[in-house]
Amino acid sequence: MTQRQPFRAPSGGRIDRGTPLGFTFNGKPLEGYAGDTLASALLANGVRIVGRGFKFHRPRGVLSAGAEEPNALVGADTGGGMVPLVRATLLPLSEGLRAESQNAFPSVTFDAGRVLDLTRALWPAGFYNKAFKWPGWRVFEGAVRHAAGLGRLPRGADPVRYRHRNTHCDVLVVGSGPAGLGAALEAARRGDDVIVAEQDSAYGGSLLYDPMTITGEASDDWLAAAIAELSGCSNVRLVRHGTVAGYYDHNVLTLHERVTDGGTPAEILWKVRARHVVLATGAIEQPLMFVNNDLPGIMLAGAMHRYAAQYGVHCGRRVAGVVNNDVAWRSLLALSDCGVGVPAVVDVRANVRRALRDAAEARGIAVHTGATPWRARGGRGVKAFHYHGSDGRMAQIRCDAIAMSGGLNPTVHLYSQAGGKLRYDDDLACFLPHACRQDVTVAGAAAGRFATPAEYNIAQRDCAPTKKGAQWVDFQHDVTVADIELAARENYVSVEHMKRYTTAGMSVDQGKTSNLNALTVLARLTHRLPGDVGTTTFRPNYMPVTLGAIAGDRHGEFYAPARQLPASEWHGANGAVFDDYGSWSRPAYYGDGREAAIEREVRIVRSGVGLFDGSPLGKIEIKGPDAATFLDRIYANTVSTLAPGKVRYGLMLNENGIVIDDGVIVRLADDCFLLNTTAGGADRIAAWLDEWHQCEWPDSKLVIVPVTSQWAVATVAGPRARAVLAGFGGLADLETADFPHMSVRAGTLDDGVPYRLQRVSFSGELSYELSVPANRATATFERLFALGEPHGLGLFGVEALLVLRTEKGYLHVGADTDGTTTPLDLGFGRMIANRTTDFVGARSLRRPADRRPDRRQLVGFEAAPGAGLVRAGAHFVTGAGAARRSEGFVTSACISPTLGRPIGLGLLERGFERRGEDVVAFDDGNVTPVRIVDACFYDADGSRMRD
Amino acid sequence: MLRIPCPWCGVRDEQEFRFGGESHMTRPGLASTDLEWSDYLFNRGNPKGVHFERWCHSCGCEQWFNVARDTVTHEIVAVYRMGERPPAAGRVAGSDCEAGVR
Amino acid sequence: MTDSGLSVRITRITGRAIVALKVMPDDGDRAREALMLAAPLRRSSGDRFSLWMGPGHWLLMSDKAGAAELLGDCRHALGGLLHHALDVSDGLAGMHLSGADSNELLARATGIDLRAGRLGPSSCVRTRLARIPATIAVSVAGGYEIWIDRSYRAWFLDWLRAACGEALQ
Repeated sequence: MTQRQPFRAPSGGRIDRGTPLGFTFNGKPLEGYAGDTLASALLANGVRIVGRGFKFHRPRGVLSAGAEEPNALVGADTGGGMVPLVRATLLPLSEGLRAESQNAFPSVTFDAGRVLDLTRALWPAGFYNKAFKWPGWRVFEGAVRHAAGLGRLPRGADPVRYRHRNTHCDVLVVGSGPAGLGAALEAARRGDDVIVAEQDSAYGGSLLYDPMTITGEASDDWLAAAIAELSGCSNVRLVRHGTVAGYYDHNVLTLHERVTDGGTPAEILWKVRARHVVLATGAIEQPLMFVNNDLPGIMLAGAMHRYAAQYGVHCGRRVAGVVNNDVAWRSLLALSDCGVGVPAVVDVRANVRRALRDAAEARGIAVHTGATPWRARGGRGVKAFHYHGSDGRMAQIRCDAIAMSGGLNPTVHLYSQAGGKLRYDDDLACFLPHACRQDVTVAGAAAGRFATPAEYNIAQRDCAPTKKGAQWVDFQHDVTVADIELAARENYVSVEHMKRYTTAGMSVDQGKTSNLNALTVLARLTHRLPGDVGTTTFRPNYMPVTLGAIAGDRHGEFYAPARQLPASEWHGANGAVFDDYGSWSRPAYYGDGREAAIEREVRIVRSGVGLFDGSPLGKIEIKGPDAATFLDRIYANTVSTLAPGKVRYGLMLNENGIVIDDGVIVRLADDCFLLNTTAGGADRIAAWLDEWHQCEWPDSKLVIVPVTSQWAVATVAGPRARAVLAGFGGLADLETADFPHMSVRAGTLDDGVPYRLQRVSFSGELSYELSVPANRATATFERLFALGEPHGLGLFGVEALLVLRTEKGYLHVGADTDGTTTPLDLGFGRMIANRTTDFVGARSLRRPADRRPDRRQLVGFEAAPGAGLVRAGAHFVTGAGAARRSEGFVTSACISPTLGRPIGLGLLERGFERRGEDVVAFDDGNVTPVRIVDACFYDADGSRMRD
Repeated sequence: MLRIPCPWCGVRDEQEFRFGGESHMTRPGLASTDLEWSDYLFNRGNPKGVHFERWCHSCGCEQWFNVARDTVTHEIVAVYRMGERPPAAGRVAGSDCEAGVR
Repeated sequence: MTDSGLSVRITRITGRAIVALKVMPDDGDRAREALMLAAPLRRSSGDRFSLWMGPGHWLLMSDKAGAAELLGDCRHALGGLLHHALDVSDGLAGMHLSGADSNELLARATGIDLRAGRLGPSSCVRTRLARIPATIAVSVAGGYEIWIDRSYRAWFLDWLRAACGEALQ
């Protein structure tokens, strides 16, 4: 059942009374109209208490009609699940909307947390910095965490679709009030690409409730014409429900659009690159400070005006005005004209313009000037307002609502984010945009143009001169004038310190209605001018942006791009189990049972022949007369002495002497090399070479061409590898005499396909790497697989290869090395000593610290057969009692199928001189005795791969 | 996010580029002292104001170039090619323009 | 703006011969003149065209001639000039993107200025597209040609499908 709307005026407003919408608030069915916000619909239904204060759980009602709302933050479900902290003042009402209060238990009208309010004196600003010291924070943490926070996180999958949109424009206009639309029209007529972003559901800003005359026209007509013209321009994009949340360097801004019409709810995060930005973001009315100024029913005067004029909602039957400026009088007069009862206006100023007084009196509004606002009385709503009259006596106005105004403050958040500087204007008593390095202009109320000083006449703000009762500054974080006094008394006099000590302005509304009052109080207490106190730093985002919108499509399978092998499907059809290795998806092993499969694959390579897909292996060609000299400078090895047709292992260092990659260098011709990098290093090393060539040795005559993905690589490894390849038409003379270990050959297969064959080995067995153009990958694997069948050929994956190379003691850069490992630590000392010319990292290896004997050095270790796996990361521990210490750690480990025992590699202090020593491997509580050995466990003389 | 003018491709988003740190560093040879070498490796000017640094348009034309950037305002004062001398640092102060408040 | 699917047509480009050509950046003009390279995707001579990848760096392309012929062009025209030309036809994956919402689709994945006149006919940019290094060229036939490393093709097509919604043809 729905209720009628007792506070809805019988007529007026821009709502569609023909389209009633049913919704619920805290489970209670209510009704509003299309064109309402949730806040206006709640007010129309007489709902005064919408939430509870963050700290003291005091009842709170709607304060504003816009983005600045500190109180009416609700959980709202528009069909996409319950979303916390939604501003009821911005949420368009929709059929079936479910909304609920937050921070209230058991209910918003009776909240047990209110006990905190009754004991408020115990919880001053900074109480958590002082109170939870003894016996320790942990004792209190649970209770505090339970009490802290606003709203509940939604559960389950998020049905909202998020995406990003990049765009460029000549002019981005933020705000569609008269100033924004004026700027947009001007730019559009000039032919500029224009985007107009409006946070609200309707264009027009203040014109929607505060009509005026624009260029001789009624503003309603002007607005309709402006929107019609802009909608008709192909160079103009109008965006509703779009909040410009961040203003970054170089005129890059984010625009958070909530798509509401049709189907699944969606949010779009625009990244706008604008040549010029017009900020027409308006101004935010500020509250006045008096005792109990947070009672439900006390609202900003302009907001009340807006609810009456735009939504046909009366926020009270008897609304007392409490103001300090002329603009607020306009709101009160308009309220009265909308039929709202306004018995009196209390103004802190002694002198108010005659015209305003006359207009008020003509409407039957009693005028009390020169007054000091003192306190509001009431419990769950306002019952009366007390003020000190100009005659010095306390007087009372009976009312059920108060329209207050402490003057306007331009919405300069984006301007400030852009690096714009602000200045305090004494006449307007607010901060105005002053200067900005970015290409931005500020228009309308955001530039302080809400009135001329003569038509504004704002009195300096201050709180009521009383210590009795709480005068609220930050409604959302429950910060009072007394809290700021405490902060000042304890010397938190910098505005940034005061903010953090009291938490004023730190809640989700970021102090849109509290910062100015807070710093005004601080200024008075510290005998400074507000301009000297200054503002805290404005940072993105102006309004909260959902994490989903920031993530966009970067989640699930689209979290990061995945690279696939050219023969990926073929491997899948042959039982490959894929895993991620860097950005590549590669076969980890084939068949069922990971451990058994890996062991089987290792044995096949050691005893027969295996086939491996090495396509991601990095391939970079370097050609030019200076290529050899350049590579001598890049590698820790000498490259120039390599003969054409030959292959050499190489190490690359950074300038710190740290190993960054390894692989083989292939000399294809006198002036042409092919570098093989690790799969993960392919792009990085190509960029590395480019950087050294372009930045350090630009005169070197050479060109660098990465060709990794052009070639698929099939590795045939094992004692029977030669027999398998010999059947491949076009590959002949594979015997060692014709084609020894570490040599290369290129040519054309019998079917005309170009190939490259390298005899290199990472497994320690006889091994050939056959490269063919990637489109031939599947055919080549099929053919090798068929040729290998009589020889018992089996596929092997990355995991088996890692076991094979560990048995062989071959390095895996990034696993066996870290950001401190030099070639000296890896046993390449003789190679380095033989170099007399400079190379990248060479000088660093001559530093004393790089030559210390107690550095961690690469060693092998083995445990007794039957001991469990000692995992990578386990520590080598020596000594006992107080002398017990870690001297290094395991970097690679496996249970060797070939040796039948746990083996591995590790980095150990003074490792080279400790062969034969017994130490203990400590792995997460498991202790395994291990013996330090040479870092090669298999075929130490290399005859299996050479012969 | 910065918008960086690549000398070859025009203005692009910062995400297309790789930062290479301070530019115009002279690489000492093997004969350098430990002090000279550590200076080259680790010590940078880190000025408040115009910083001469190198960037690579890594997702574009793959070219390295120099950028003179104000570290306070992130303004890019000049862009010039590798090997070219830095422009005179005259255009530093006064870069803030008055807001065109209407 | 509604959230219905996008009207985009994506077709794979197959059978195109592609050669990566690099010369020293300072030799770029000489190479361009010698090979008579014109604007990207404009036919520079006969059935050949090219994409400019950077100073002294092109992708030479043909739908009729094979890679061997393109390599022959380079040998012939660039005789004395240090250059390296390599067949990369298999290493790249190309797709043609057309339809009313092509720009909207691209704008979800790249910050390139796609407004008319900025990325005009026959121009080509290298950028990041859905976090993948990509070359986007305005096609003479309308729409865009997109070239990426072949290893990303499956992931990228999945991304395109998801981004387009049900309207992908």
